[in-house]
Amino acid sequence: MELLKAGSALEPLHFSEIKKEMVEDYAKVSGDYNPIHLDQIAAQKVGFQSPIIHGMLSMGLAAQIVEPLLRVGYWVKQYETTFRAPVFTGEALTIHGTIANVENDLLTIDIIAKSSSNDRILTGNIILKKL
Amino acid sequence: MNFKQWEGTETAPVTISVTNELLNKYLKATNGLAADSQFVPPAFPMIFYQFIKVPWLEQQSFIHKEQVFSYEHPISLGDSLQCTVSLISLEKRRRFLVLHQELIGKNDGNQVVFSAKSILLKEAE
Repeated sequence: MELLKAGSALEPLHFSEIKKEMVEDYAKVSGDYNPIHLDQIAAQKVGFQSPIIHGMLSMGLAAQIVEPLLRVGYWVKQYETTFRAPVFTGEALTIHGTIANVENDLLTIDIIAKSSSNDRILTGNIILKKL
Repeated sequence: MNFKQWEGTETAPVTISVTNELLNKYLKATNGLAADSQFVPPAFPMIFYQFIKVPWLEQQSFIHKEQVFSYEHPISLGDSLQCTVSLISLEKRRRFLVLHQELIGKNDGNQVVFSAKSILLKEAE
């Protein structure tokens, strides 16, 4: 692995399509059957053009950008996100990560995720700690 | 619903075990890779909500605005955690009702393992 220094970019993560089946699977495992995630009419009733994926599904997907670091002895100390725009079922999702700070045994990664329709659907950071 | 009645309250504790079945279902749903890490993924504890009776969330539809997971220790397969959810505060912001709530998981020694703070929105009634 390359030297971890502030300003370095992590390998981006790309999901070409967040399929309806993924959203249904997440609903099943989480018990979150909010109809805005699963039903066209319910989504439109609250102002969305079509069903949106669970925020926690996008957060779960985005966290995978640090998996290479977890394999070399880091664990997640803190993970923080703001959901800035909805991701519609069927859209692509791309996650970018940049090392913001390296201090002793802590590594802070800034993350930003974009969908097919929006360049900033989620922003946040992940703080990793060395085991 | 009168959410104000729940402000400052905490749910009854529920013990939740991180089983192989639960973790594998989560990994499948989130396209995650099994066995790559000795610890569960950081957003995993949100699925604990389904095991906890949270009266202010019943029959309600919220939009997730912000989320923070903080870990004192990572969670591993086989861990059992005593979990509670508290409604820290609520406020009306323009046409939205904003809920600040926190899920906390403690170990057998009553030490906090993780907290998951959420900010949720819904249109005010």
